[in-house]
Amino acid sequence: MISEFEPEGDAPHQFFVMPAQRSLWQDAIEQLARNRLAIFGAFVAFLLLFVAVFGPWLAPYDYAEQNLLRINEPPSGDHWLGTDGLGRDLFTRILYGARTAFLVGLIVTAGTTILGVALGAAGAFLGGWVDFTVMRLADITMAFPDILLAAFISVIFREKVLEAQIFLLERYGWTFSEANRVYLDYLVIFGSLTLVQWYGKARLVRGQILSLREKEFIEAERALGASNWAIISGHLIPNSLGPLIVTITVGFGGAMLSEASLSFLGVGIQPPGASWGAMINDNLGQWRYYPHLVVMPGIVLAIVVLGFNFLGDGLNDALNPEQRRR
Amino acid sequence: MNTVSLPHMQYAIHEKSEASGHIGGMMQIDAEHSEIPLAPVGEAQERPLLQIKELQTQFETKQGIVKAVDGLSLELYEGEVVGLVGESGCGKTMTALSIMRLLPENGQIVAGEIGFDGVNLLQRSGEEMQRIRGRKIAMIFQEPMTALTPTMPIGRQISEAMEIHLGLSRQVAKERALELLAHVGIPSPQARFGDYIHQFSGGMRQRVMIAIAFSCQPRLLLADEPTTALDVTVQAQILDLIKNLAQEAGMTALFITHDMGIVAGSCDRVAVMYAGRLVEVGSVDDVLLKPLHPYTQGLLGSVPSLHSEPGERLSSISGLPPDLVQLPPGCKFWPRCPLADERCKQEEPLLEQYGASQAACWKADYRSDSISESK
Amino acid sequence: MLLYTLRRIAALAPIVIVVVFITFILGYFGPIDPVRAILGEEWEDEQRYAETQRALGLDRPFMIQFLDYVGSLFGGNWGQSLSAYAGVASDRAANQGRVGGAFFGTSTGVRQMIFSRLAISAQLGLWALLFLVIFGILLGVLAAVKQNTIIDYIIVTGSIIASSIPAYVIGPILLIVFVLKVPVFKSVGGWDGMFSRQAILPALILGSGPLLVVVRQTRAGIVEVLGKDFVRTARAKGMPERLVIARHMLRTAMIPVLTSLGLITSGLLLGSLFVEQIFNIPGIGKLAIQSLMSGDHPVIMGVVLLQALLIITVNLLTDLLYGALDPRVTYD
Repeated sequence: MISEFEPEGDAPHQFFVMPAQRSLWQDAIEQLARNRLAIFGAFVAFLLLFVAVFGPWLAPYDYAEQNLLRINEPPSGDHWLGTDGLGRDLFTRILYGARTAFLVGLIVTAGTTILGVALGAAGAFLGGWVDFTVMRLADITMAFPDILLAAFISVIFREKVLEAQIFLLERYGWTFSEANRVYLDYLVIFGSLTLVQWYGKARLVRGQILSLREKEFIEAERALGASNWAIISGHLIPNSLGPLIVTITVGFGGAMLSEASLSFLGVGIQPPGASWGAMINDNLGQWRYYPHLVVMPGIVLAIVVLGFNFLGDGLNDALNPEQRRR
Repeated sequence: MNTVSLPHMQYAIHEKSEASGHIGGMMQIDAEHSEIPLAPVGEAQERPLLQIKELQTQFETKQGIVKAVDGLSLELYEGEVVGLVGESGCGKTMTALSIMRLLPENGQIVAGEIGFDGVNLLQRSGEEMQRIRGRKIAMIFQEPMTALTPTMPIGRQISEAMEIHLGLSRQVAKERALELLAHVGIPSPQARFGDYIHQFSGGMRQRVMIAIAFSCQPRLLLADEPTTALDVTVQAQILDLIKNLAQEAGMTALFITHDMGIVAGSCDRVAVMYAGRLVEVGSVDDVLLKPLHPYTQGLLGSVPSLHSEPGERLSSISGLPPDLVQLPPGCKFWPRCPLADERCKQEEPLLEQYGASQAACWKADYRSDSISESK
Repeated sequence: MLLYTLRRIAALAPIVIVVVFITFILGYFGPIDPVRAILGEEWEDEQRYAETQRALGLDRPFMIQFLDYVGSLFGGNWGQSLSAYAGVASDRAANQGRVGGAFFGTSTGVRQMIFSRLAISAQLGLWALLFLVIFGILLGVLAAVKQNTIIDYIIVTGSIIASSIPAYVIGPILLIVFVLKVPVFKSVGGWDGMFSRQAILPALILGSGPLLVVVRQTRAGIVEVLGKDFVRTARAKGMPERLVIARHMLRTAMIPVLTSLGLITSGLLLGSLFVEQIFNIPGIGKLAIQSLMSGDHPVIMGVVLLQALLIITVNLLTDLLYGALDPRVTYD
């Protein structure tokens, strides 16, 4: 009942001071800055970016450098986090693992965003059978258990990529060094994860466009002769950007986690490539004897995944105020 | 009253309802009792059933502190029906919710006393209040569309309170709920007992609401705009139903409304509320025929009467209800008052006796004189 | 209602067909050639290769093979594991699988292989579900009632943590803590029935995965009804707060939770790749990993297909359940 009072100019005792007009983005940034967990998340994300870019210069050793005389060592001055079963420096490998994780996050997120936005927008704007096909494709992709499907696809992909490599070698004499095989693993993972994770963004974009189309103010603008592009740039993009940023942030963490999962299952990054998931898998058999080999990469992975989730959560609260937790 | 054996039940009023038996009995004596005149005011004046003293209820909002109820004092005597009248937003509902101690989370009673049957409700523990709510003080809400749980059969919503308050078994409570449904005029109660609220019309929902309120035979009924949300044709039926049921049970009632017509038809006394405080209190006859406060006159003026000439303009109160965050000094009504002078803007008038009723207005003296002269 | 159900099933039929089709494509392009798997070294002998290929029906056109696959699915035959053809496949399985074949009986029919492990996964999933429902709803209600207090904050943040950390991180850590540091459990891993101690840790980890979803939805549902008029009416009746929550709020707030619990349940019952791998539990997840390692694609196809079909079925069921839970929903 309180809200029924409306500002009324002619009543002499009412003084209404309108707050200064502020944009959604200013609001969002302030809101985000107050959220300590989101700040932690942002810090983790920047640290990951930094390590991913400068990892090779930060690392005290080479990621594939083996020292069979010093295997499974506990943390020491030489090896801050100890060494693994082949005598490789664990700290170095974790730094390189960050590179893998970030690259996968970046490329898979870019891939799913491009694919998702394109398919979702196509479905919403073109309608008809295009929309039908896109949505059924999304339904079907969703029906499959995603990690298992991604694992299955990556097993198949790997075989095909290897065949292609052999073909190129025989036909054109192109060769790949041993180290380049790691990039083949990346290729496999990018492909399989993008194929499995695009549908969320497609549904989001399609939903945003369709719901905006129903809005009365859009109809009004159309009636006033606004062009399609004016509506897209003036309403659609600003309205969809918030949810999309949240989805991208969460998806970034999700893609990194998926990479770790695939590598843990043995179908992701292959040795000697460094991946946190693969490191856990490699050392899992010895958890009783060398627990740090399992725990260290595990903790790093957990912190990064948590960081992105906290950041996504904070962004969601900040950018989608209508769903903000009350 | 076979199964009821709560110790704190020996009230005079209950002997009355004891005599008429429980709900089943009420049906039979329906016809006889409707003839009983309203309990005359002042018969049991020694101790009011409800005595609100200097109640202050505030809300914290983004705009500031809203003084929804600001120093309100009101007494309700056994068996009388009092109308609490005012524009929406003047604090009527918050007064009722303060009595129930069911204010929204940002609301708080900051001062005052609510005496009910000799005890101050503001000092009761949460558990004690819970035993009072529904059992001794019942409330009927304005919006029957949203005030009933959508996912619970209506029969259960009636019977569950009786299980808690009267210690009835599920079966007995169900039987009584069926009687109540019949009594409030819901056809084929047996069939409708398991229905959900969305299957009922607005009037029927309010009948269910009434059945809930009367189920434990409370002593005080707070009816918050019980007919506002209903179709005009249904309003009178619902009002009569509440009136008759309250009368049968000899219940004390507070009718919260903005409709002077309802007050005229149903109440013994009326209290007019403006900006969180009372501006006029008196018997219905006095207040409606000889309103002292310009605000009351405004409220009455906005109701067409039989004496209105065709084409005559209804007078209305200019301006809007005040902003309860920033109240003017002096009389809260002066910005809208046609009679306001310098004194009204400076000093706040208090409720004082003028003739038969009380009013809070510096001009009440003059008004009461002029009215009596014109008579 | 019946008509609605039938219409929904009819609408699902094409999706099921496409799901089967995609599964078949995945298998068709699978990394291992069954003929080579059977023949081992001899596969380069062109005549033998062709003979075996014909015997397996793999020389037929793609569509014929697909229809054959669909037909045998209807007949209850989900294909044969490649380990049936003694040779490369089973060797690779034995070399790469962490446990070896000992756990997994001797049957090589895909359906038999899957369903013999389903019981174990389902038992574990049941515990996880129990844990999830009890704690998820309890914590969600508590967070909602204590909205915006430190308790709410701790519950929500704790659930984010519990749900974000993958099983293969928290699993080993819990093992290290509860086996090495504070020896609560003597031996871990393997499966010793539903009521053995071994089931506790994996069930907790499995159940904590979807914890956040349940806590969030319960909390949101309760917060949404917290200020509703009907809740005030229930309080005005003098109902104890406990009953106000249980009878008036939960039922309304639970509807979205229950619908997503449907999907969660199907995921839990079909086993987890990671939990079963870490705790060495011979359920469906473990079978899937071993088949993945050895490239035994008929088995992976079977697992993928089973999960996809289950997800589709559960989606349908939750849709129908929605109507049963919310009296306001009608079907037409």
